[in-house]
Amino acid sequence: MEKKILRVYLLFFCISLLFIVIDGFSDIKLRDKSYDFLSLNFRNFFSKLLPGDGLKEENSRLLNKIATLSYERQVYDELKKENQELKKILEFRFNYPNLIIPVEVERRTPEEINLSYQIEKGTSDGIERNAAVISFKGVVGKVLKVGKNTSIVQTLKNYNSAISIKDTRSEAQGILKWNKKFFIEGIPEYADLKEGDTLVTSGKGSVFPKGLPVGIVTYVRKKPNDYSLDTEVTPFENFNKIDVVFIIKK
Amino acid sequence: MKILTLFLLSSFALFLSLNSGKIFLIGNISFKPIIILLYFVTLYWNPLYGLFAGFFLGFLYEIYFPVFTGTYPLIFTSVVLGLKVVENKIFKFRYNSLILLFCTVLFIGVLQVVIEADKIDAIFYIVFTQLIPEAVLNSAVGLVILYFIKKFK
Repeated sequence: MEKKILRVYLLFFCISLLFIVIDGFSDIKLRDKSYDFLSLNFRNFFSKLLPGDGLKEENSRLLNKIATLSYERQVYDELKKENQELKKILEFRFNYPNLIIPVEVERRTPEEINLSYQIEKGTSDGIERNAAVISFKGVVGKVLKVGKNTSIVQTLKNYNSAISIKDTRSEAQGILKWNKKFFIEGIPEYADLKEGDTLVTSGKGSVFPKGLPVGIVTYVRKKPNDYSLDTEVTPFENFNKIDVVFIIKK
Repeated sequence: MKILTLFLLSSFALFLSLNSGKIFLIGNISFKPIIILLYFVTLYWNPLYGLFAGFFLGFLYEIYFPVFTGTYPLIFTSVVLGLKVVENKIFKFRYNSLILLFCTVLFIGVLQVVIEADKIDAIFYIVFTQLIPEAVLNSAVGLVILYFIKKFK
């Protein structure tokens, strides 16, 4: 045998043995340190070379699919919500056949300062001044100003609003007004009014039809030195969160 | 040029070896391109190249099949030396010389089972069900390579 080959073999043998001894019998784990880095790059290199190695591509494809499905799920949820809203509107319109088409609230004035809405419907859509405006839950207000294509709705949450109401239990009547809180004006101290009573429109005046839900009495006390009651009413509708309103034809 | 050829052949063998499970796996039987490369380089080209290829491929092979660092370089270079020792005792251009390749693949297979899997209890079962068919498969590949070597000699 050629001496050169034997010498090279002995050199490689010694180096290999040294590595085995270092790796196996000392605390220095070559495999865990230098090989980690090398193997990472090496594996990536060879993984890219082989077209059939689909694990990474499969993983990437699945991640994309998850993202797409997640997005579609969000869209689906939105559509479901919208569908429910439309169903609700349809049922609501069925109950009130003389309603005109529902109107989306475009703009609203800042909270607590004579809340009003601007809507993108006007005389061209059959809206008239002082038409009653309601929502799913109850009375919202009335049409204050009408343009050809836009209108202003004055909500109940307005210093100038006044609506004739009655107690569904005792038939006691009064005027609902707002001054930083809703209260009933002109209700005598002997009137049968209790906390928890439901208020609806009385039908007096030419604006609101009879029987539209308005709110619940949440506070009743006798006013000192007066012959009327101090009351507080919570309306059914949250006027700051309305998106769709209905206008009742006269 | 020879070094470059050796490098390319080694890279190709390593690539095939690391992906043999995806390309050539038949049941548990896999293709061993590195051993075939070492066999033919040592016997039909230059044993010194076989030693270098075995040493460096051994280290790279350990990246995928981790044992104690230096084990595979030791095994591969020893196999190359063993092939060099028996080189003069066989007629290497005859097809029956491939029995040596068969024995080499079988020997390394047994070593792998002992080192990696630590399944000495089941060694006979593994030899008959996996290692001998594996040696036959690799000898068959060696047969094709030897055919071309003889043709272009």
